[in-house]
Amino acid sequence: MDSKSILVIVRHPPHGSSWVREGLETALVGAALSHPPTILFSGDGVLALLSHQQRGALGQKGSAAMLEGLSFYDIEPLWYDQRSLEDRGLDVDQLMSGCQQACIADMIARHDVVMSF
Amino acid sequence: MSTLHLINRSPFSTNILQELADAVSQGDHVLLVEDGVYAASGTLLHALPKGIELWALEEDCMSRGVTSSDTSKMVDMAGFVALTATTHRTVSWF
Amino acid sequence: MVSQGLTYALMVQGTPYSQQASHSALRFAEALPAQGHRVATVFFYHDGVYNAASMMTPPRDEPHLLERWRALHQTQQCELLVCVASAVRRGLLDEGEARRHGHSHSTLEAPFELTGLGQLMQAALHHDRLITFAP
Repeated sequence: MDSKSILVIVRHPPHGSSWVREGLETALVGAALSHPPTILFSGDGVLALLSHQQRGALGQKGSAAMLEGLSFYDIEPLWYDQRSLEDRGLDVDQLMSGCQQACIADMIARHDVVMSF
Repeated sequence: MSTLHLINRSPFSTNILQELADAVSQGDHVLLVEDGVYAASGTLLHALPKGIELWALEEDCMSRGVTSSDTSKMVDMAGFVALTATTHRTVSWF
Repeated sequence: MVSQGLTYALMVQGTPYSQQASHSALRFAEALPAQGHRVATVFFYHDGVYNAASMMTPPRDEPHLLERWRALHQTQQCELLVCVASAVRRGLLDEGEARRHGHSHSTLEAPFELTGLGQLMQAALHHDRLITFAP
């Protein structure tokens, strides 16, 4: 049972709501319990990966700093959905380092548990 | 090892069905619940690839006056439970 | 397909009364035993933590969601776990947290329990299914 694989999908943009932070915190806790989940950014979630972000209006720790720290906890790469990026007129060059393109259908099929944020 | 995808948002106010089209695999199930049942009528579900089973939760359809659909089959709460048991994982889209 | 006797974890992220998520989660959970399954853990996260507000006082002709959760806890012996970080931020404090932060009243009571996200991970790993009820 404990060998279950977990996928965290982030589908909301950062700053305007707490979804990104909550998804990342869940992933970090998984890593702390020696079960680092896979993390995938899809839909508006890819906007969390944009470089040059600052602290947000909610006055909370920006998610960008958390994202950059994920690799220390064996949560890497930061997977993103290419179509979501293209739909938003973005290019991988505009994303922070450590991002990698994913096939979302394969990603879901390869994990036992999926958590959405 | 199929997946149940739960859709609870109106497809007319979100981009979820287009995103879902890339996220489903053959043999997956899609269940429309809450405001998601508004996708049961109209043509938006045609965006999903073939080989996906489409369902709509009966009680959410009834409360909203969504009576029938060409594309999805009605399922009651027991059917919802059964879908989560027979698929390997559930993904919520919202 | 073998699908008898599964244990479920539910993650509830929707706030009560303004969104359908709590209602949907309860309806789903209440339908599990008829097929031999049970909900073992309900984890309230995001605005879902408001489901645990102990002073919830809906009009008499509306469902009392807090009582429904309590009844679910009794009938299926499920844990009702509330993310402590999300809850305390939003003013949902049990007696211990209220005292610690210098408040005279608590706003969250048993059978709801304040816990960390680790419990959500444990539930996801140990139970057979995780179903998310989102806003």
